[in-house]
Amino acid sequence: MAAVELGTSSIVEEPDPHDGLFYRKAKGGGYAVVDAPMVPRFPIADAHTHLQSLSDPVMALARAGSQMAGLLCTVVDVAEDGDATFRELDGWKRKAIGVLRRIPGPNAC
Amino acid sequence: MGPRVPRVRIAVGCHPHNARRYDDSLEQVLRDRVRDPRVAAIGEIGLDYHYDLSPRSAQIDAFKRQLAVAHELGLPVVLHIREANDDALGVMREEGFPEAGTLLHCCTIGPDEARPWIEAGCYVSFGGALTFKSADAIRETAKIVPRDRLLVETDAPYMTPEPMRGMPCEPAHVVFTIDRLAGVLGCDTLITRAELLRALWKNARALLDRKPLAWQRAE
Repeated sequence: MAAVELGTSSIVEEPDPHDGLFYRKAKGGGYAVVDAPMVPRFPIADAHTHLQSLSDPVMALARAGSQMAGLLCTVVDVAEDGDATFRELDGWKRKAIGVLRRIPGPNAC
Repeated sequence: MGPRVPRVRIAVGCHPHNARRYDDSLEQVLRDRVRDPRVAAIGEIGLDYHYDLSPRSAQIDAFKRQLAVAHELGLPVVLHIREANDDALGVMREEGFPEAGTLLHCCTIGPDEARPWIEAGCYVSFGGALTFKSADAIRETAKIVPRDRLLVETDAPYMTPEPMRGMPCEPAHVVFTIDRLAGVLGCDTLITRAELLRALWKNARALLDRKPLAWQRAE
């Protein structure tokens, strides 16, 4: 992945989710790194998320873990979500363990 | 504790958008799903008069029926309320706030609207909207929620917080909402930020990470 140094920011063509960084679209194209907030090294919780609706639940779990997320509550709609979360969740978590090992730690203080 | 894959609990329910589909058959699906010991709450349930994707009468009926299930089973509820504050409060007062707890998810209301929920003992969760430039009213609400009933969320893949807007939301983005919340609450030092994090963690565990109930463990 080619990165171009622009001041303190890096512009990349495509974010690498494994690097533990946050990116947003840059004005001139590509993606710029966004500094993560400095947070005390303490577990955090996301009280409401829709893992099943994410493009990559495994990566999402790993990246959340890298930011010290210790608990997520994922929401399932009985009318439209089927049983995928119930069937897949344990597998997502198992796979996320391997992915998390490749992600650098959070910007902790 | 170092980074690790988070524990995941499940809230299951019929969203107000889909309320017109809520019937005896779907309620049986709900009852079957909640037997899974990973289920911690009934939700998201409630009223959404912004989109009105289901008739309001159907929304109210599905809301009441699922509240009754939560009461019967001893589970907390996660509420989705949009532009329906008075009717939702009316339903909750009529049916009763579950003893196991009520969470007002993705709070986007101002202090005047939020006060009755807070006085009723509800937990209140703030998502990406708290970080939006135009969201002064939401930030004012955050200031009046007792510290022991405050939670944060992403609602991923929706409601991406600043400064990440324009990107798909993910659970890791919760750090940005926490950061903004800390600023709103005047938690400017390492110690006060750590105290806030401890409170947020404790609240989330207390409401959404309880031990499975006996009838769930029996599954």
